[in-house]
Amino acid sequence: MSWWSLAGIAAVVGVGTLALVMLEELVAGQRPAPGLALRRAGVLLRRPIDRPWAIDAWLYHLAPPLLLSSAVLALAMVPWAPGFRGLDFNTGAILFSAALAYVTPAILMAGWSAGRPLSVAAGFRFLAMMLAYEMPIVMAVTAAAAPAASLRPTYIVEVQAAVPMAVSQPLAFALFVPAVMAVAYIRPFDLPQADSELGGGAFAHYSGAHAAILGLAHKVLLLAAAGMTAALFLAGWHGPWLPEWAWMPVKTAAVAALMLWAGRRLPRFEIEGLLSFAWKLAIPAAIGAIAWAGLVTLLFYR
Amino acid sequence: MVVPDPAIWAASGVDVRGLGLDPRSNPAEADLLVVPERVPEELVAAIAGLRCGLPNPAARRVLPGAPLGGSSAAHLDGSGEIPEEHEERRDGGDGDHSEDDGDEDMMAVTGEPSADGLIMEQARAVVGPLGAALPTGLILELELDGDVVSEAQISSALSIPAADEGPADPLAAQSYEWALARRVGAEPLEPATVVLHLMATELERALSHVMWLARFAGLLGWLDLTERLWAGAAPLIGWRSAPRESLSEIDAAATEPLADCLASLLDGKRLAGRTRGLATVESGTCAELGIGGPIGRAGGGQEDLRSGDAAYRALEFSPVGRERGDAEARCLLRAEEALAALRLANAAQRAGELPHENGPVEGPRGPVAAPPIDGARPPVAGDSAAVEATRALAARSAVGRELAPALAAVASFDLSPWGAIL
Repeated sequence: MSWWSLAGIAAVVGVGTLALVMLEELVAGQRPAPGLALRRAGVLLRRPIDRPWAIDAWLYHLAPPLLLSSAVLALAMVPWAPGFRGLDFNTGAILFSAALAYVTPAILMAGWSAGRPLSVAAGFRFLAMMLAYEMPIVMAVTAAAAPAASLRPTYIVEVQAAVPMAVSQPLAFALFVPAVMAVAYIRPFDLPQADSELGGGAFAHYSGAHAAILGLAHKVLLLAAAGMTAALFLAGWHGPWLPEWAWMPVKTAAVAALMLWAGRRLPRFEIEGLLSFAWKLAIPAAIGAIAWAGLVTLLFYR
Repeated sequence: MVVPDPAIWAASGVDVRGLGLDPRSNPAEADLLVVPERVPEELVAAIAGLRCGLPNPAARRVLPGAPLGGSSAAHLDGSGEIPEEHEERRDGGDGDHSEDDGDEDMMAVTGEPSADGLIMEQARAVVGPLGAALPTGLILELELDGDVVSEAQISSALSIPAADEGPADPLAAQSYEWALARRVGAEPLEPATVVLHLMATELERALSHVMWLARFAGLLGWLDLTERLWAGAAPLIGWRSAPRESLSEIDAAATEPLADCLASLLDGKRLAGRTRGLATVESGTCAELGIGGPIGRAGGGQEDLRSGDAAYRALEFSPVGRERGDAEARCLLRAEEALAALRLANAAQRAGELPHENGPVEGPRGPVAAPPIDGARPPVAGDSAAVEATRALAARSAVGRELAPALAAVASFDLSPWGAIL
């Protein structure tokens, strides 16, 4: 890991977040206005942090930076090009899901600090969702890692030079995408916020710089989720016609657009249905995906 | 933050979304508080509380009009400053949750196991009177056993305005005006005037149902449908503020995007996941409690005053009905009625003349009856019974459910915040 890697990750956060804001507006059928988004961020940053009365100050102030840190750490595991591989740890694929796990205490802290029932309920909703969907993520990652015989994201990308994992392991892919959306609370899995139901949920009392950090963290989570999906299942930087450095941004944008489009077109899921699906269907199916991965590895990758 | 909710503004012919506003349900995310010139006194404290929740600096914008009726002026200070009695809420405390409770821990358990045998914490949550999930004025008080509703109660912050202040419900104003014109003893209307009244009533029905659908879709987090419904309702909102006589000139093609949106909702399956089997009400229950309107028709009831009305018979009207009586049936029935209302308005426009008949009018939420021509507005007790019964039914439907389906169950009834269907 070098300072250049860290600078590159910071650049990805900045450019990627702005690109996602424009993509979100495009998906909503609006004209992209990056200037407006930057002005809005500036307004939020200049606004004072208005901590409501009778809340837990420590948890209130710690939650947004913890959320942003976990999002940036998850993004740092995504390999973008042969020359820019993020942190590129040997266990990077699992560290990605470990980083996402820290979203849970951040949201719990945010909800708890508000001290109001709906915010606390939002925090615990997310905890239940996280416990249920973190396992399919880890199992799908394991399935994707099996042919590469490594948890290093760049090796998993390299082994997809001929066939993407989405084709050789469609079940793992089909489980990974909604699971990672759930853990990153992307619509229609936005249960911890649920604006219309819980009036902002766990983040109801944040304003000013904290609100800006929470908004940034959410965008970075989306970027990380889409980027890792592209890396683990869509062959990363491999592809025809375009140079290698262009494929990951294109694929990430496509996956993010699909997630945003689904989020607009579907009603928010209910927690009971989500948990029922996860524990009764997704986790058993993920075990099946691992078995399939073993078979595919034996037949085609050894 | 928009007070009252955007649907009420739409009933007054003001499209707040068309003004470029993006209404939020959380005051901490809002930069601007939009209020009307006059608001009912009962909402002043809630509006002041909302203003407290907006982060500084925040602007307040007053729009002309009084969409909710009522006789009180807004009590917010002209400079936008927070009233003194609410100032303490903005001071940051030291965050100690046990500060007010002595030795009691915030997570103190009651010792009473909940329905599933787990010992959970009891909490109380209040939605409204200015929440996004419910119409302005309605208050839903919930006792939560963990995240499951153990008790629910619905009340209203609003009271019926005085007889000389016009119709109570802005979303049934045209129905009420027609009901006034059809009172026993009133002069019979000209056939062309009947057409205009019928068109206004049906367009109002379409607007009321579409606005309810948009709010319900917003509650479910269904962004695409919410935006499409608002975009499709723009012509209806425009016609609300136009003179009645101009209705004969309206272009039916302007409502085609809305009709397409409603048709796709009726054909699709995405609503079923959140609403099928939720808060089922059988027609027998509705008949017992005297509940008519879309709620009764969604459960197999056939009561629709329009079936026996000469003007509607001339247009070959047939009532829309569903059998299941659940939230999905109520949603789809209102979508179907909105589509049918657009067709009826179009048919009436083409007909040019329709017969007059005295009697109550079928409004968006049920029968709308006007007082006799020589009497004052009737006491609300008779009309309020059905409203109270509906509120009780809606509150019962929330009990035993997790928070999200509980809110959806209550919202599916399209409750009126007024004490009677007037």
